[in-house]
Amino acid sequence: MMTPSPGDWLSRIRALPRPLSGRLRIMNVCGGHERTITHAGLRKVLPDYLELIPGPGCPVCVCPEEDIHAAVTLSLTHDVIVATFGDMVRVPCNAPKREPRSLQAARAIGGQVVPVASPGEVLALARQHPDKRVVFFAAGFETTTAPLAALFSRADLPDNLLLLLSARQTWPAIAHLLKDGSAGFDALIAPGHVATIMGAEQWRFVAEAHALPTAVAGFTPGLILAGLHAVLRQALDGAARLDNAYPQCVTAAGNRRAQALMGELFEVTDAEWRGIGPLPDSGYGCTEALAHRDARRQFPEVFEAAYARRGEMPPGCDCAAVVLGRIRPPECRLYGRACTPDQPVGPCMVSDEGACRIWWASGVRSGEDSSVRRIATTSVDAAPSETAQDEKDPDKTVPIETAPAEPTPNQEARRWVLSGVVQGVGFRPFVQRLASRLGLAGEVRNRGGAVVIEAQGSAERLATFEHALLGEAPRLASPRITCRETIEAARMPSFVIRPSDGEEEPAGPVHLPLDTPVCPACLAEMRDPEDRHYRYPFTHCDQCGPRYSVIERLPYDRARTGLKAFPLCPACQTEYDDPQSRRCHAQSIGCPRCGPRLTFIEGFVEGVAEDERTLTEPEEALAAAVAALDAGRVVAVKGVGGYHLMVDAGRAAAVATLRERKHRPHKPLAVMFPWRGEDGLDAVREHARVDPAAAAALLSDERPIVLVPLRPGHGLADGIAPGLDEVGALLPYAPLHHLLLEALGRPLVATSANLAGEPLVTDPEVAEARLARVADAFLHHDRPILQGIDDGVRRPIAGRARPLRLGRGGAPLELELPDRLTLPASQPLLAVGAHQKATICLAWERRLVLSPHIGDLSSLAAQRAFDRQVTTLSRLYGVHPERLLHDAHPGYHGSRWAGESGLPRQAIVHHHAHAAALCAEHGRFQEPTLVFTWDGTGLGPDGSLWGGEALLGRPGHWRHVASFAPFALPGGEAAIREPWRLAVTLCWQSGLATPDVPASGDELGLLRGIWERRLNATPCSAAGRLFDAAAALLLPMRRVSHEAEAAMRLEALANGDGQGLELPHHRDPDGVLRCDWRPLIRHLTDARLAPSRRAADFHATLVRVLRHQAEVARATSGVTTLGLTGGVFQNRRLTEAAVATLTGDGFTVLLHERLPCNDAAISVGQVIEALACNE
Amino acid sequence: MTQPGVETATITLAHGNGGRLMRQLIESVFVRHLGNPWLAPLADAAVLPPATDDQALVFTSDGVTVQPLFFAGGDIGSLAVHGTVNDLAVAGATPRYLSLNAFLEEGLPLEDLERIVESLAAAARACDVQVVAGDTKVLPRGLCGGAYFGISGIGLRPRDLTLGAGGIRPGDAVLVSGPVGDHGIAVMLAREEFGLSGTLASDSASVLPLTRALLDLSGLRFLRDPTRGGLATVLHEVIHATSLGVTLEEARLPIRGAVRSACDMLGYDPLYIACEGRVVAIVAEDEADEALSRWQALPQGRGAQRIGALDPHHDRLLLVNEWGGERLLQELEDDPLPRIC
Repeated sequence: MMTPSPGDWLSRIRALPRPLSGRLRIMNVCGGHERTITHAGLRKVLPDYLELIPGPGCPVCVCPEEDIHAAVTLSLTHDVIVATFGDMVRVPCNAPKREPRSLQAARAIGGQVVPVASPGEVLALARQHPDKRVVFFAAGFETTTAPLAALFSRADLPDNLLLLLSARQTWPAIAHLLKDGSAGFDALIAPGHVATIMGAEQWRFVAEAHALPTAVAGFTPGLILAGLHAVLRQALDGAARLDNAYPQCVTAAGNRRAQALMGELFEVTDAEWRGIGPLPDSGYGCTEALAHRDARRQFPEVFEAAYARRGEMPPGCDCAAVVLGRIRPPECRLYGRACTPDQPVGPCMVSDEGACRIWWASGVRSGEDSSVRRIATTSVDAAPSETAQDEKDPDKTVPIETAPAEPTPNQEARRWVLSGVVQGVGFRPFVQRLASRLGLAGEVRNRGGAVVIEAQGSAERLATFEHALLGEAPRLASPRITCRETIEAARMPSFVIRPSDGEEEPAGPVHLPLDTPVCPACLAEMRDPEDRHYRYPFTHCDQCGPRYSVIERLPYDRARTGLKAFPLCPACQTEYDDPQSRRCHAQSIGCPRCGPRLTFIEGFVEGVAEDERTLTEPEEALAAAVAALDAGRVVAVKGVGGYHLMVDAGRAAAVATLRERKHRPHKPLAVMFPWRGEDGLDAVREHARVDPAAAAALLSDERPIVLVPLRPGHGLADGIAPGLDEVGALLPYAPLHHLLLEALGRPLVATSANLAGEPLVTDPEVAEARLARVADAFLHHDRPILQGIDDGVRRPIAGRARPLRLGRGGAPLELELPDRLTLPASQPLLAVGAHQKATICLAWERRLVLSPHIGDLSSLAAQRAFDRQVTTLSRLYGVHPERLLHDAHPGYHGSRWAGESGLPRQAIVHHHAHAAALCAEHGRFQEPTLVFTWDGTGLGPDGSLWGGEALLGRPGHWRHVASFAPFALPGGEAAIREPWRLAVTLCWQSGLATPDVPASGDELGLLRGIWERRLNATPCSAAGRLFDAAAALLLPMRRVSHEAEAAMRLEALANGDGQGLELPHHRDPDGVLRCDWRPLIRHLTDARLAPSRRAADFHATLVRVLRHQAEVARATSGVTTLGLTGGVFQNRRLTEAAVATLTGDGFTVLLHERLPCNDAAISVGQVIEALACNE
Repeated sequence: MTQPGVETATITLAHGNGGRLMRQLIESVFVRHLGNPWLAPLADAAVLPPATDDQALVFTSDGVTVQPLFFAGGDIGSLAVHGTVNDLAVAGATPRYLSLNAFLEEGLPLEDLERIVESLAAAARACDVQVVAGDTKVLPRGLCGGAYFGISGIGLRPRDLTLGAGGIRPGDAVLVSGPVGDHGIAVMLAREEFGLSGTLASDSASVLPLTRALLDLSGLRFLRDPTRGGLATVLHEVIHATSLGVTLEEARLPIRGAVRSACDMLGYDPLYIACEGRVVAIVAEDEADEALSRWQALPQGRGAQRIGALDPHHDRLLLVNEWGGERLLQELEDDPLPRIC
């Protein structure tokens, strides 16, 4: 079983951006965590904005001195043996000089002290000494308390065994820190071992009541890094929640048996914490059941004397501040001077779990050590922003759970309007639960795209409520308060969810919820034979399920979704109405009684009536689909955003059949893998290498197709991705996928169900008509797909899974314009993007919404999908464009469409849009940036075909500074479909003989004529076309069947680092630096070198071209930030080498993170460019 | 070699000055080949017999500027006649009279002019039309590629004949009378001197037999000769005029292999390439087979095909291949630029 290594986790963390707050202070509350962090040197290798703070994690350190005094006294009592864990023996307390200051010192003067390593040893000790009373002095957290309970619940205990219990719970210390308002940390990794006993849920209050990212983490470096990664992700998402990053051992509820045992023998009490004082409910005492063994009860006089010494700390000892994370160990005046492990003053220097001891052991001797500086700012004084915020916002620390239940007499009433992602994410039930918890009356309802809340209660409680509305919001929600007003208080007995307001057009800022994969809770129910959702393929809740794909219009209520045709049965209705249920007001829920159902239909068979080919009983339908797939047949399966064509991915003949029928000879097919192993990725790992970036992407809510390198000897059919060494992998995301893949137990091709070049099929009738000759059978369901949406595609490049296609779960992508580019409300824009990989982008006020991938607009079906997408975005967002932006290419469908619309329009140069999209993503609107826009082709302002251009400037203001020497594209698109033509003419242009290509003499003659006369041969400077030519020179290739095929195969062919050629450059009459590619073509024809080597050299040479052009630009303009965009940079080899080289040269290199680098980003760039050019 | 009565071997500016040389040129070249009772008087205008009551006059005008002047399957002379005759024919008319304006370039070999006019006369005879008026201009060297012709034509057609896009209905069949793209590709190969033109010839011919064959069909809606812009452009005009779509079956499109492979190399689509001897007919569905068999019975119509239908489900020109895949044929750009990204 493969789990990510610590290195994997580290790269995942490094791949994430710095949080907006600038830094993230993460507290741990476990000595084990701190020991691993320090010993593994994690502080040195993590990004510097992550600060790791040791918190109250050492039970020995917080053991109050009076307990030690008592233990010392007992050890000196004649018939008592004190047994304790080893490190407690040495913990000092403050006592007069003549008295022993530790158990060790007591032993030196005759005290009977026996260090033990486990409770079992204590039992043996008591049996060995029946004449003595053995007092087990046990300090520990819940992990110690549980085995203690097990020991003392035994029936065979000797009577002479007693207990001095000094047990503590961890969470109250954190609650104390948070309540105090001086927490000094922004996120928490919760202790994994404690959580194995007590359950992860114990820590939910940190995330929900205090809005701090929280993750339960294990103890190895990898597990801790997983926890850190989880909280960082939360911080970046702006959504605090409780993540379980140690699911191997920790469950939500914990070990109920252990909890029950503890409950029988021990009771929760207020307890003293050394140096801190009493914390409510933070410790355990013995119950009556254990009174006869309770040392505190059996030796009352000893404890009375000891309690009198409560609060006496060794002078100068700052252990309490260290325990609370308020100072770092070396900041204690005694650290390393008066206090060392040999001569400890405070407990933190004693225990193996004490922060001082751990730091000392790892070599920290003074505050000047680098690892110390790393957390130097973790003290409260150095966190002004947090402090300032707390002063402004005192409610932040009001713990919700302590709010009194009955309303105070001074009632106030307020109304809030919240926008952001607030519909379809369980927000209204959350509001109701929150209000009920706080004893507020009122109501919540959807209005347009927003949520309106009215609540009444005390001013203080309302303030708490408001704070928690944002801080505790559900995982998928991202609310923003857009309006807050005081209203007349009225009679409102309780807090209720009201139906949505009216049918009006969406008002206010609308944010669409996105389709989300089935959540673990729903999956667990689906696998539970006792649950009514058992094996139900459409089970969902407020945290998962279809959203965008089923929305008809807003507000998002069931009656306005594709589920309106499925009235809820009583059981579902009960859950829908129950504020405590995950299905409360969740619109996409259903069960076998009332929800959508499966139907299986065999493809057309002559002479067999349709109803004889149809199975409508859902389990039979599913079984028939499984059997068909098992037999290697092609099944069209209706999913979330459309149909997939599925076929056994391990069966070469089946894959070949699918390819032949789909007329898709080469384009790689996506493969869906069964969910297997603890993180679900084991099945993928059997066939492919999954790096941390890929793993995170595969598991993300987007569940995209992720391109991962195949392992040698993988078990997939070669036809999955001919000539390539990668596979597009994805995990099941709909419950139906889980059922199918669990039943088959092996990977399935899951490619979009369409005919080559057309958009995804979403409708059963269309599927049966269009795919009659492709699919052998159909697995339909009757939940309508209102918005078809493809699976997204990502590829890990330079440490991040970068989008190549935005699809389900990732789109529509909502972006915000910078202040300077805000649009007037009356002037919404629609940008219609490019022609292939088309997207559209709607822009109004400060908002941009990028549509999902629409596809290649050459087909009628795709043009209809384009029209639908325009209508859908306008309808859902209630925005109707007044002006259109389109590409400067007159032949793009969008350009023609804009021309026919009658609206004012503006043409945007293709590569300007590319560059603007990249700059917008990085917020660069003013500073000069050098953007390399390398792609296949796009029409340049000079009428030639661009695609190898370096543009210098800022959005709206670009200067063409560098490119390639232009070459003819003989036959236009024909030269792209058949790259051998370009290979031949580039050779001719380089003074070389005709290379060996798969073409006849007549064809070469005709080509020569065309080339010499420049017939239908537009000049072109596109880097993507050089890839075509190089691929055709190195690989037997006549015709490509999809647009990136040649470049993808060339990348796959390349092997080794490659030797880059330094290509000559010259300035053309317009001052544009032009790369002369002819020496590269000559090199590619050098048959002495292996093709794989020449392919590598080609990539390395292009990196040198980038480098040279960047250096020249820097020398002449001083620019140091550069960007790489355009479809060519989907090439991982080129992009990673370029980033490494250019970064090494001192450039800051920008790549796309949220937008694809290909033409899918053009629509966004068109908006930016149009707005910025007026500046 | 010098022609009788003409003193130089090439056209000079003097041939256009209205003097002796010009008169000699007209008489010895144009009148000699084209002479007829209406042209003979060489007056400023021809006086023609009146049309009958049941016939309407149909009038058209065309200009011919083909380069090169001679190509496999024809030359500018025959092309000038066929272009004008065909325009009249697809209007349902019987062509009767032509006028001929010749713009000759200084330096044009008289021998070439002679060949052109000879060919022009032969084409006119074959179509049973008379050139009844004319004019000659000589332009300085470099201005008109050897020769341009302006041709107008008059034809007669039955008064009650109604042809045009207005009659087209959803479901009507689209027929083409033979392989498309021959003329455009033959001329292009000849112009660029590829030396590959042996297998390809222009289809330049009169379509009169083809149009006559269908005129009595009550379901005949529309006839058009797909010249510049080819078959696709004609159908786009139909789409614009009717707001109906046209769906074509790729497998039924008649395209010669040589045209297809030349187009493939050049990066052109044969459906946009000019024809000079083909007709597109739109016929009611129930008479489409009859129309097709009438065409296929003619020597000019042996390669005719029923290629598609008027489709109310969309408003585009859609090409469907054998496996159901669809391709949209856009209206022709000024310059077809690649869109592959």
